[in-house]
Amino acid sequence: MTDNIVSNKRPKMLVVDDNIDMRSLIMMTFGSSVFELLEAENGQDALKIIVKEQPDIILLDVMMPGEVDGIDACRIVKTSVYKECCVILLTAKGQKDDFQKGLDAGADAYVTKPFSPVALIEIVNTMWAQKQQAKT
Amino acid sequence: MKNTCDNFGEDVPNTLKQRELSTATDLKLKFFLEQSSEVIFTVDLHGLITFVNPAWSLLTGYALNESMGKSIRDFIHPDDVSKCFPLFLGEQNNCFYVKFITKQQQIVLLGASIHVMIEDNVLTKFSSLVDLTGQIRNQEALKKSNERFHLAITVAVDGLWDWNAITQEWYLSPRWKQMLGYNDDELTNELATWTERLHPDEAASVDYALKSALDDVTNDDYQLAHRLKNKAGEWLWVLCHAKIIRDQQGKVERMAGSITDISLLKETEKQLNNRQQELDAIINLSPDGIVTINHGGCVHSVNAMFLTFTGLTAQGLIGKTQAQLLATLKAISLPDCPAEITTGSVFKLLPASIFAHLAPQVNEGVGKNKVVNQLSSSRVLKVNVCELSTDVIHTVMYFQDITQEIEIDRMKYDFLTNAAHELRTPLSSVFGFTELLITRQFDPKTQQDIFANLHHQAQFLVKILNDILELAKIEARLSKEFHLTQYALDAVIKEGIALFTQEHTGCVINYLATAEVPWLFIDAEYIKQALFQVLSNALKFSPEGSMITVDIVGRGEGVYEQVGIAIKDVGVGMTQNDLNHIFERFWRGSNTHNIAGIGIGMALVHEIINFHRGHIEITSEPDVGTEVVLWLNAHAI
Repeated sequence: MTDNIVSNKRPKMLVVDDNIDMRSLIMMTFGSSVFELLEAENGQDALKIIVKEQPDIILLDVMMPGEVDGIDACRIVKTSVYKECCVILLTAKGQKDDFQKGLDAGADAYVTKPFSPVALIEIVNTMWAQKQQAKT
Repeated sequence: MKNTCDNFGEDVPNTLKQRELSTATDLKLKFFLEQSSEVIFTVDLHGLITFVNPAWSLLTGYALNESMGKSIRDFIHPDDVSKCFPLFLGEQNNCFYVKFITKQQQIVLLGASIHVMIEDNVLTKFSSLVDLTGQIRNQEALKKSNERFHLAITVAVDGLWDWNAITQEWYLSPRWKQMLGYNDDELTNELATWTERLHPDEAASVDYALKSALDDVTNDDYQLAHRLKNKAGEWLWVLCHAKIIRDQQGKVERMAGSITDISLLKETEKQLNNRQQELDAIINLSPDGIVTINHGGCVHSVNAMFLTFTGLTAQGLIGKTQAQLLATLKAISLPDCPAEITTGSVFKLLPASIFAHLAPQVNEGVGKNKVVNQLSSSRVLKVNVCELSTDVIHTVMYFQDITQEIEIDRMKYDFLTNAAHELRTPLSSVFGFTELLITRQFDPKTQQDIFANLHHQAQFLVKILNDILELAKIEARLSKEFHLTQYALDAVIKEGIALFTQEHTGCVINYLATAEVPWLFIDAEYIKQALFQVLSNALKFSPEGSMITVDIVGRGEGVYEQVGIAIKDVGVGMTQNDLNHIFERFWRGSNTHNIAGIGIGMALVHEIINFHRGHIEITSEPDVGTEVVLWLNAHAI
């Protein structure tokens, strides 16, 4: 009964990036999808929204200004009660150590910029399907 | 005239017997001859000794029987043979000086007398020798004198001289004269022969040294190097070495010595000196720091560049042990410095050491950070150690400034991270939006928005590209690209501000123009560009709508020597660490993440101001604001 209510609700996706153009690209990419879209422009704001909205998928930019960058935010989420959500790191950095840092922080996937919106949709969909399957 | 050579003593020749001297007279004569301290002898017409008295043995060391029948020539010092031997053969009364060499290879100076008597048409000749050195009562002095003399004479190349202070007679040996290119008979034995040939630069000092030596009764040595003119008119360096002999009252009786040709030595010394000077110049002009360590393991010398690198003083370093040197270096280096100074060691000097050295006005006011054209925050020195086998220097430490190399490495890295980040953001937009345009259908309004966005991203890419090209162009120092002309700074600033506000509508700039400024030789276009760059930084890093102030300031006595364009904002400000890096390319401040840019703006400004031979001063405080002053020389450059 409760399960049904949850599954009927639209899943939430949080987009975190300091660059407005990047956010609008991602919003447009997922504009007609099943996801309800949320935005944050830095790590601190993202954490507040996560607590409030409990998103199912988080697209997280790594290099962001402020106290909490993408890696930090990922680590905080993955060590909290919200660890069930999928975290996909988005970054301009493509170096090996950044990739490793992301994995260590518990990220589910890692996408480097520039990315293909079509490919990103596929990654998100696959991940969402897996998560649904794991639940049932 | 009949010439006979008469003999005395035991081996009495017939000629003497024929004179029928009485036995008493004969005995008296014999006693006198045997007891005489003077040497009395006779030679035949070839110079062979026909008679000598016992004093001979005392004087020469040769026994009578080994001397009889020998030529007197064999006993004369080689220098005197040509002059004195004929005198012994002569048939006139004569008196002269002669040097003999004793059996002990010592030289004795003798007074020789030739006595000629003609009686009954028969010539009788005998000679006497008085040991002049024997006149000296101080036996010790005599001994030393003889040793010195012996030493001098054994060196065959030396010229000898002798001065009798009592008779004022001079003697200059043939070799003395030969050294100057003369034959023995070409120069007279007198003081003037010497003094006339002194180098004018040294005449006074020779005179002084000689007088001082003679006046000091406790002294019996004289030594001085000076030049003498030779026959060819060239200067010959000689080392004059002499012994002074005094009587008991200290009065000078005699002075004798040698001169040694040291021209070659002097020439070598000169060459060495030149070489030393060359080396010193090279060491001090070296772009690398050089420290030498002596055999005791202590610092022997440091060059100018090492002191520039470290800000240390030579007095503080010379004589320090290697351990102390290392400790000194550690004290001014970042903590990760090596445990010893060996080849390959790298010392990263603290910025403070250089900073304090160059700009003592750091940290005026609490929380305020300041920088004056500080390009590199930390100097990096790489060590090379070379061991030598010289007498003085054991080790040479060679400190290479590799800051530039490190800086280039860092720039490459920063370019890859920062520039790549900045390039990837617009590229991501272009890549993503175009893919969406290809794969999806959009309504015309959304399509229009996407195209506008793409155009904006392309513009941003062009700006980054232009910035990089502009910097490269200035870097190449193509001075023809700069046009220095006399301009009124006030007008240039006004134009610069107008240009800026045109592009950034809504930006408020308060222009004060406090100082009245003469016309300056500048490139107005580049100065405007520098101002534009600083203004865009001020705008980028300030809260929206906040005030930016531009002012003209001046400093110097009376007429301003330096004129500055001061740009002040109330923005995010910078930390000291930010300031240390501000003029580096591709470096971005710690609180600039959300602001577009690739970190070459201030590097560009730095190049422009440098070309004008001016400098930049930046004062900043985090969360309070930043003031940048572009200083220019008021006088023509």
